[in-house]
Amino acid sequence: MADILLKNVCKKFDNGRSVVDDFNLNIADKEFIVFVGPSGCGKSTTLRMIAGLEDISEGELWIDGQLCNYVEARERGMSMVFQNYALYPNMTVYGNLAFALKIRKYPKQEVDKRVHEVARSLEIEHLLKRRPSDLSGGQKQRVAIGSAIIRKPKAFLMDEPLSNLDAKLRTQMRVEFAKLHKALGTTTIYVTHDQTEAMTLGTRIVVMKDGKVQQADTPERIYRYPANRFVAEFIGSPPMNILECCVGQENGQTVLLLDEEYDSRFSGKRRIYLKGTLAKCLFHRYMGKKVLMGIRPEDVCEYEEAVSGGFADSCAGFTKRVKLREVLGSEVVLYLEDKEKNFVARLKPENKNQAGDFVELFFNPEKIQVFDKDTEENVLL
Amino acid sequence: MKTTGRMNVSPYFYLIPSLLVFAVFLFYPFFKTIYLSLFKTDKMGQAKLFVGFGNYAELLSSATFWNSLKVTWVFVVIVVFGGMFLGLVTAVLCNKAFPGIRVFSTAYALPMAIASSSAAMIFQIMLHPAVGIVNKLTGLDINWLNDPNTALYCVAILTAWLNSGINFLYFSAGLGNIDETIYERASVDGANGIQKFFSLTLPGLSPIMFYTFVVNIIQAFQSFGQIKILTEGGPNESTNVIVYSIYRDAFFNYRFGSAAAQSVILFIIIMLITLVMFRLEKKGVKY
Repeated sequence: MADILLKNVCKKFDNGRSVVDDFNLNIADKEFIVFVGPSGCGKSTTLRMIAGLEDISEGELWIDGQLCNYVEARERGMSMVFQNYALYPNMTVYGNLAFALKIRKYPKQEVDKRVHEVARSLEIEHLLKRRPSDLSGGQKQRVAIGSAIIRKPKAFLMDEPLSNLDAKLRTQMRVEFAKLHKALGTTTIYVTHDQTEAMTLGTRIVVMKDGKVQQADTPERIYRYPANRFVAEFIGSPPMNILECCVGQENGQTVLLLDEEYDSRFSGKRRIYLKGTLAKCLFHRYMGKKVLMGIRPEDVCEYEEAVSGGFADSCAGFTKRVKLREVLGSEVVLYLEDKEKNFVARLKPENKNQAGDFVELFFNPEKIQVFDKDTEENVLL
Repeated sequence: MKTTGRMNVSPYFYLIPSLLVFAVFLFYPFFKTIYLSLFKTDKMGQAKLFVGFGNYAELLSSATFWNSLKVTWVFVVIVVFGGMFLGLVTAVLCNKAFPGIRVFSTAYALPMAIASSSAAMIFQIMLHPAVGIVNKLTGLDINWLNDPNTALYCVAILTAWLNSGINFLYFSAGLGNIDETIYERASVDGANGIQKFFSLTLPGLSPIMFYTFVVNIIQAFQSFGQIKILTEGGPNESTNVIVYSIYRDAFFNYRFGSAAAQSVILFIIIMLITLVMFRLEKKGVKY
């Protein structure tokens, strides 16, 4: 079990290219932290710096109160699961599991006991005599996890461990990871580019882009209150819709005026009445200015739902032509024509709109996020 | 199903060119050697008197032949283990990326491009008792190539160095095939450099090491040029390896029958060792 603290950590390569820039994070004991971001954002490099496989160019890495910048990987007490499993091909499953204990000169009986315990818990006891080349992807993954947990490390480091598995097995192993963390309570740092893994596994998620931390928070808060436009669009599938609008005032209330063509066939007011902190913030800082409004596809609804939700009067009727309709059983996803990209709405399965139809949609004002047009940062965070 | 005669015969026509080459340069000399080993020959190498296994019996009762076998054994052991050790060490040293790596790699692979006779000439000068650099540097006064205690080692070490170039290439290729992430995992698992070398590198090299071992043994048995130039089997037969003994019997003593019998024995020894090696491969090669 370990507390891990990263202070202003940077990674620069010899050619001066910076991969990780001013990374700050305090990981508490027993946390399950997920680093998520697009390819090349520096998440694996950060993990490797924590493991001791990459040098830290600047900044400090503290593990359990000890400065570890110059501590060898083998002395950091971590376990790592690699993307390609990194099983020792010349050893049997037993040898792979026992390796970390054998080199620490554990008594033979203790090694044997622990190997069988771990193998039993991961249901790979019948594979102990096989070599990695005789195992399936899922079995290799279990052996890799077994090798990591067998010596009860300070923390688990996992570098995209599920990316080589098929979709079904990935879901199954995801559940196993969650169970494992619950059972062992070991601090875990998990790297992935799959946001479903990030959302389901992490107690906290660190969203990264171009070597910088964009936001580090709980999955719920990252989803509901993204720190900037990048996080808003990266987390969530389909991503958050972003619309340009203008902040104004009407009847003494702050409103967002949608920058859209008015369609006389519909009764939409093209404005959203805001309340609370967001209204105050926009009134003071953005009155008359353009901002970016973000709304999740599931927070978009039709008139009836807006009425029952009590926000039909305070919200614009947003009118668009349906480009594509996807029926997913439990919901209908409509892709609507927009200036630059798709506007997506997740509606109830009763919706009957087809491609080419015009549809009037309403936004729940309480679920709206507003971003500065220039900095693209969330105005409230 | 009925097949036409033309279909049965035609594949063999395609084999004729290679069969011809094999027949002229391999099969004929091979069977001719076995044939000659059963005869006493004249000075022109023509079989004159059938003696059956007489040549073999004579060899097996000859102290010179047994000495030659012993010398060959020592020579092969030094050449194979020395050459493989040098190749392995240099390959491991060059397995990391650092400035000037190409210069080192070229230097370590260079012996493979040097003719054994040229290398022998260089060594002859280096080991010269009066002007040689070895004596100058060590401050010793040893006649390396004329002393029966040192001559064999000198020739064997030269041959090991010559073989180390190709071994370096084999091992470098083998090291390149070992997945880098298993070393990273071993580092995180707590292994130090020596543990990684013995637990991962050596087993990882076992397939290429087996191949290199077999090739090195065969090469070592067939070494000739450097012995011819440096010692000519002497002093006092201390470097008279079996191949040089065959050469001397055939082309100095004109005893082609005895030389052929030695060749057959050498063939049997190499064949047996190779067969044993392939048997052991199944146990020793890890994956």
